[in-house]
Amino acid sequence: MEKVFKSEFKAGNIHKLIFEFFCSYLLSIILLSILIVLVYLGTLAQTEMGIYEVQKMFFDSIFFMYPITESISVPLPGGYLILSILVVNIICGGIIRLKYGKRTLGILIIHIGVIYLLLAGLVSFHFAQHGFVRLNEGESADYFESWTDWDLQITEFSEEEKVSYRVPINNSVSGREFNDESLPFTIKFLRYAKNATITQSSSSHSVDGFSIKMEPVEQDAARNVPAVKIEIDNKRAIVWGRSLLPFVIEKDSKEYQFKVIRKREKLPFELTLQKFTMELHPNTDQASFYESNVKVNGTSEVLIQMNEPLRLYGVAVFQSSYEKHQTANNILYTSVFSTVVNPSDQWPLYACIILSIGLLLHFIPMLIKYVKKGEADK
Amino acid sequence: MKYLPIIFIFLIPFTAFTAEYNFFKSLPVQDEGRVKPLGTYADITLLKFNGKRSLKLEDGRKLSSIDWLVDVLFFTEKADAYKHFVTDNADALKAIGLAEGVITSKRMRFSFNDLKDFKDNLYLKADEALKVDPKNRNANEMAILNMAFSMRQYIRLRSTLDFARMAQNMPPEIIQITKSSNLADFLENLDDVRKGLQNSSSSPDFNFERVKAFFESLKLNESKFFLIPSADKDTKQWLSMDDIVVNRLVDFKDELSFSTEYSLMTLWQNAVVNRDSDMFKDTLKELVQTYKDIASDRGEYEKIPTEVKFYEFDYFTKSLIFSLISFLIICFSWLKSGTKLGLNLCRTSFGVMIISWLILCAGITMRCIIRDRPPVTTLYETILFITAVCCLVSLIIAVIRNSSLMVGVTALTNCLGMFLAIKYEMKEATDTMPQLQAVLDTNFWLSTHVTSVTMGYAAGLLAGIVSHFYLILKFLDFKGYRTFTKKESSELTKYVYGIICFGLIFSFIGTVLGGIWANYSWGRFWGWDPKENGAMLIVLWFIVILHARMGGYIRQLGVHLLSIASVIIICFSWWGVNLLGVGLHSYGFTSGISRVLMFVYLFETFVIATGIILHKLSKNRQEAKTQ
Repeated sequence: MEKVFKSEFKAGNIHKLIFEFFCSYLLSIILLSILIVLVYLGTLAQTEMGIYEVQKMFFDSIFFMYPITESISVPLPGGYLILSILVVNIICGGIIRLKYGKRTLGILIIHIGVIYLLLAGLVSFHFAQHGFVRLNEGESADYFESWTDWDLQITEFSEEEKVSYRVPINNSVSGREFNDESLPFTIKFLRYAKNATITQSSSSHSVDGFSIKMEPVEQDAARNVPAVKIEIDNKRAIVWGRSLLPFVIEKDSKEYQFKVIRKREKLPFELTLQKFTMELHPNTDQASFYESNVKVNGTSEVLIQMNEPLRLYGVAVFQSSYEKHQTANNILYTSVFSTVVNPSDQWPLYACIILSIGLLLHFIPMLIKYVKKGEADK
Repeated sequence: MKYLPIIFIFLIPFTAFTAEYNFFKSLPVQDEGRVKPLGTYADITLLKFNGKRSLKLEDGRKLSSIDWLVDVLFFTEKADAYKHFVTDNADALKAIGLAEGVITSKRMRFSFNDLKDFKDNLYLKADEALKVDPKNRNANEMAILNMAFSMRQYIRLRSTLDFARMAQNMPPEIIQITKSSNLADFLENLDDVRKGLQNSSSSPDFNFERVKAFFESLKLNESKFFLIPSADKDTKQWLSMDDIVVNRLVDFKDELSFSTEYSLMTLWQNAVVNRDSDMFKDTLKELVQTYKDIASDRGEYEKIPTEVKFYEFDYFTKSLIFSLISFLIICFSWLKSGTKLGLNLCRTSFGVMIISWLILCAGITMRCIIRDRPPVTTLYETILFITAVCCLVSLIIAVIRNSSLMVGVTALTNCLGMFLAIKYEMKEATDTMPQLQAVLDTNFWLSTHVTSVTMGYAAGLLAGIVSHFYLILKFLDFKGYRTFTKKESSELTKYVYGIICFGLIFSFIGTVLGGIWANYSWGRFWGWDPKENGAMLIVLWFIVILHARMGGYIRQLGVHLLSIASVIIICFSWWGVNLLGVGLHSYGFTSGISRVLMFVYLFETFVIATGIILHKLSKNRQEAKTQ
């Protein structure tokens, strides 16, 4: 007689198995262990690579190739993937399947707090914009620049007006063409270098005796200066992030200027640096504090200092650093602010409160019970 | 028996002997951005040169740091012969040209006189070493740099009072005008001196070269010791003797604005003139009193006596001694366990340990008072605080559960912590109360984030230490020396489990608070910075332990083995990431500890492996028995 185990293949059971899998402690332990390895490797990697590159490779990725030696690499799951599965794991095992009761209330709250914290990270990862504003005393700005992203800016000058277009440049532009109906030409990106200098050369790649020299990527990603080689109507040019003069062409009685500049985002207000103050610890080169008096939209005065950012219209402006310029007569300072637009800005704080409540609710009764038992044993 | 702890207080050997110039310790000076007692400055400087806070002279006498500094400043010719430059790197000495014959033992001591002929060569080699990336410097280069820095600092220090010595050689052409050989008078009346010199330059006795040489010699002083507070209370910057001379002689600054500074200069000069007379000590005392008045007036004296007392009492050495005694007593009590003597010994040990812990806490509190800061702001302070927290938690457990083992754990932890703190301070030889970077200047975040993260470290380490005891008991049981009952075993597991829960609460909240602080100061919650990652590793590891136990994947031994592994993770996070030399939190310079850290990693791995083997062996034995 033949016995067929049909029930094993029932849709309901598969769902249940999958759910059980996502609920399991084993999955949590495996995920956390992988995360531990990942964080450890990502920390060690920072001696060789910049923090920005490490973050992209190890933590923002789904999978990545980890180089064990110069020639051998192994695929590893990235932080994004692990954390995503972990969220599912916590929701299934730590919230849905939890036996609700007085004893598990703390655990439930802790898991909700963790989910909220990870959600804050997710929102920040996808939607936050980071940049900076550099101001000398008296200067104003109503935009901030990206630390790492650059654009090719095309400015069209006609008799009546000046119009700007921006094309983001990165690894993917190399070999591509860009055209837009508002522009009377096609831009062909022949080459892109993430960090470059320009050298004199007579090779076949050179343009007017100059060519792009690739430089190793900086540990601090904000220090990279990119360059692109473009071709427009059979005319070739090298445009570099540090070029003093733009590349210019004329077409249809209009002038077009090309520049590589840092990506800019508009600020919802105008920031004016009124005064920058800095003090050193006496007889040392170490700053004891530095702060900036700024004016917002030319009216209200605000003091931005370390640990005291300005938060306005969803933008946070932080005192980040300063630059010192020695002139013949005196010392001038440039104040550097970092700016962040982050929809989940305050979420970690709320998550921290939830987590603290959960941890205390769960562990304090345990402690009390233990102490009471100890006294009874005596 | 119960008076034993009190007796011990009197038995404590007073390691710090009274210095001849003890009163001079409380003279305030400005160094590394803060006003501190001269005693602290002397301690750190001698520690840097000599590796110790005192110096043993060739005639067998022991010189305290302040006496040594007085000799360097006033009796320079004597100090030049003191063998206070220590190195153990023979190759570095060869490299700067010292003869093979001089280079003998492993740890060699040299005086300024021994090394002065090789000074230029030393500086040259140091210049070369400076060009090497700090991460890639080898032991030779480090030794050369250390020697060069010490040499340069010594030369600057010994020249501090050169101005007064030079004034004693003031040419008669100038004395004729100023009517004294006081340098302050000379500077104050510089315009008159210049005019007078012009008038008398035609006289036949006038030696132009001599006068010129005197002026030039004044400008050569290279002292960078900030000894002179400004008369202007709002000027935080103190001046060195060199600053005053240059301000007046080269930059032609107004003489009137320096009146206070000149009067202090005169006092110092008097001390130099009187150095061989009976008046010397009185002159120094007058200096201390004058400085006290000026610094009090400037609001910079308040903490000076407290700091002098803090270093004189030497809290952490005393705490170490007490905990060592406590540990020895508890070991004896274990040998006599079950008897009345054993019980009494255990109580005594507990009492001594409480004293040790109180001394440690008093030391930490004194530091907080002196610095106006929460307990933890530097790597050094993490050691003190972690030790105090570990001890507190284990003492509480000892009381609640009536456990003599936990008294032993406390004593051992305290010994290890204090030993590490003392060693670290000696190795670094820098001021352990430095000024903070601008971003750290926030007592709110320092007291919340930093404190809770370090409490997390403390818990993990304590759990690890208890687990070591578990393994030792298990081993003794296996060998048949002592029965390790099931009750004892589950009791220890509960301790470790509880401590890990405690650790999780603090490290989790602490890490998230750190993120919130980062969000307040840099605008990002998490940046995958090494120190952040380190904290996260600890949190993740604790969570793994708790979930593995909940899921039934580990039982008693598993908890202990994972808890021992948490020691590795905490050491990596606490010290290891600082060695990477990258990131925002590199607040501790930790050269030379990588070897110790490697040892800890290997040792703990070995312990875990032993634990696993032990488990297998005892399981096999049990199976054999049942069969």
